[in-house]
Amino acid sequence: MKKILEVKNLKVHFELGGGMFKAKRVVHAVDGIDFDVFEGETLGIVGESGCGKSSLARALCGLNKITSGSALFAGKIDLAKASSKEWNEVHKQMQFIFQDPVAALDPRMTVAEIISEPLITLYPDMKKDQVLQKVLATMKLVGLTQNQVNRYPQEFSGGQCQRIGIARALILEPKILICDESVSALDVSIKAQIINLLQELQQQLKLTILFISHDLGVVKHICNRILVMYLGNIMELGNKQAIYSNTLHPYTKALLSAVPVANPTLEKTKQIQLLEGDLPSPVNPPKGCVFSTRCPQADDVCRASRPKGKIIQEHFVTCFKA
Amino acid sequence: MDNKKPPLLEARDLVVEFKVQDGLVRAVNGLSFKVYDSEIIGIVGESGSGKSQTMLALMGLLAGNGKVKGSVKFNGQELVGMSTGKLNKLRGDQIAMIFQDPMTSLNPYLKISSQMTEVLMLHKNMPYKQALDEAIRMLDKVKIPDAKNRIHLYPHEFSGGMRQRVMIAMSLLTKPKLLIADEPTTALDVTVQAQILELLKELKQEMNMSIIFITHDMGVVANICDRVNVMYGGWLMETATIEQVFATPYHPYTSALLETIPNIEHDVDKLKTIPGEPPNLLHLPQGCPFQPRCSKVSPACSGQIPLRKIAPRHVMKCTVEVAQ
Repeated sequence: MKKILEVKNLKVHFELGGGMFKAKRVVHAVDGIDFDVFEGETLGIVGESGCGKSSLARALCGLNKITSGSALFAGKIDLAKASSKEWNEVHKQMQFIFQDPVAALDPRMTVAEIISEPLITLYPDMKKDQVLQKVLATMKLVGLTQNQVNRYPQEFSGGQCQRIGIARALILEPKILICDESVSALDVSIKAQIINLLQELQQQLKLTILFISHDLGVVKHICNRILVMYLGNIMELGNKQAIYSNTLHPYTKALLSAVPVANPTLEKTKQIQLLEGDLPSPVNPPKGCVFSTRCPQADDVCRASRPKGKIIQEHFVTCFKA
Repeated sequence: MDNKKPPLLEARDLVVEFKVQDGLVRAVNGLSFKVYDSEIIGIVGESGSGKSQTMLALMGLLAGNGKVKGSVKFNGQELVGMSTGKLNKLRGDQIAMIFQDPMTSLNPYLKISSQMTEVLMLHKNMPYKQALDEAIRMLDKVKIPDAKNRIHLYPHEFSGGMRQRVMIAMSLLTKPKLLIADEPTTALDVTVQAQILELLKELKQEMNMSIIFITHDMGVVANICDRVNVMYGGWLMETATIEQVFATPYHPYTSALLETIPNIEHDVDKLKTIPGEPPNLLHLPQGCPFQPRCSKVSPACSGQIPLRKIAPRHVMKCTVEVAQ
């Protein structure tokens, strides 16, 4: 399979505060990660809040600055060094769907204006009726009707607003969609509709999807491969079966066991690996393995040095114990 | 659970209405349910199902344009129409509530110590010193490390999970008989959610209280609840023990809801969906609010729909045929 995105030692850091007599503090949101995205796959990125999954997604889309490292897009453009002209090229092929469907839409714009905006920005020479045709076709694709074209976002429910958000991303006919918690804010019955829509669109349009979520049930349903992040680092990366049925990293194990399952008999009998405490601060990450402060298997080696990633049974795992 | 004892809380034909610009919104429509001693009862439903408004009505916390009809008896006392003075003696004392977002429920300008001692000084007339000791003991109980020193911190100095623990500790200070938890783990990560659910189960055992647990997550229901009420469009659709609900969901809405959840335990190619949109409370159909989206809809659905008892402790509001 062809690589569409090659990420190498990518870092996204944010500087905090600092003044004349105060040292600057640095948030290590994404702290040197390597992975590839293949054409046509759905890669899930999971982890708790503060693990850096959104910072990573936003950096790949140019919404955050990449601090160092490289991210080669389609074998041509390095996103870490891309000029604004190159970013325009990237944005024609890579689009973003946000979490809160209502907040992501400008309340003063009609549906037609919202959906056509990327097209008008990136293809300024396109004729007006051609734009409208494209808008209508995309609306149909995501399950909206033509007579809704001149309405405003407030007239739509959350699920429909998310359809508008998807239409806005798809009108450019991108190759990659980055979905940052795109179904998390939706009600259960609507969530299933949008998940099915994304899967249908993926098959129809041969899309590559980066699916960021904290919902491990949804991720398991929709993704081919899964990347588990913790405090800006990759803990485990592998295909779905490997991650869910042959879990190697203690963090992934704890994460999976914590997901409540809609089955009371199972819930009452299953062993939950409760993690102690909270995520350490990304300003001051632990010296050794980032998970060592909460890991049930951690020992002095883990606390003293960072483990290097290794390949075991087709997984990429960052752990001394695996 | 002893069913012969009178229930701790009994709601009968509860109606919550709001006057809005475009008419009358009936957020809760004829709700009847009971909460027994030391049980955890879940209330599940999507947005607009009326689950939160039910609880706000119980606590007398509805918005100014809201009106409550029907009856809610807590320990024999009628809550609907109770004066604010009397309610204030109950609320925070015998009935406590925790909310989804601990940051908006805690006062950012006050130290945890003054927020927690205030509860005891007000409800139990305790002197500060004793109240502080009691508060520290409670923080220990919810497993906040180094509670003795950390009680003097401000809310922003705690993480999200720790703040939710502080909220729980604060609500339990007066040893309430009933704890209403409105989506207390929704904003938390799964690992922290697992910690909080375990904690609530332990505390319930230890303090012998009942919990009304509002959530939209069926997995959480399976984890923590004894019984569950399923709500839709202001209606109570089905009440049953969790074993009954997950094994034999009779109401078409309940079974459809369970089928839409991607399950981490077994895979499907395509998720089942419930067609259509969530109900608009301003334009509900005659009869059952689920009609437009229901797969088993019949002409009888637009008429009066009685509550039917299907099995012991299993009740539903639907006309559908049930294979016994």
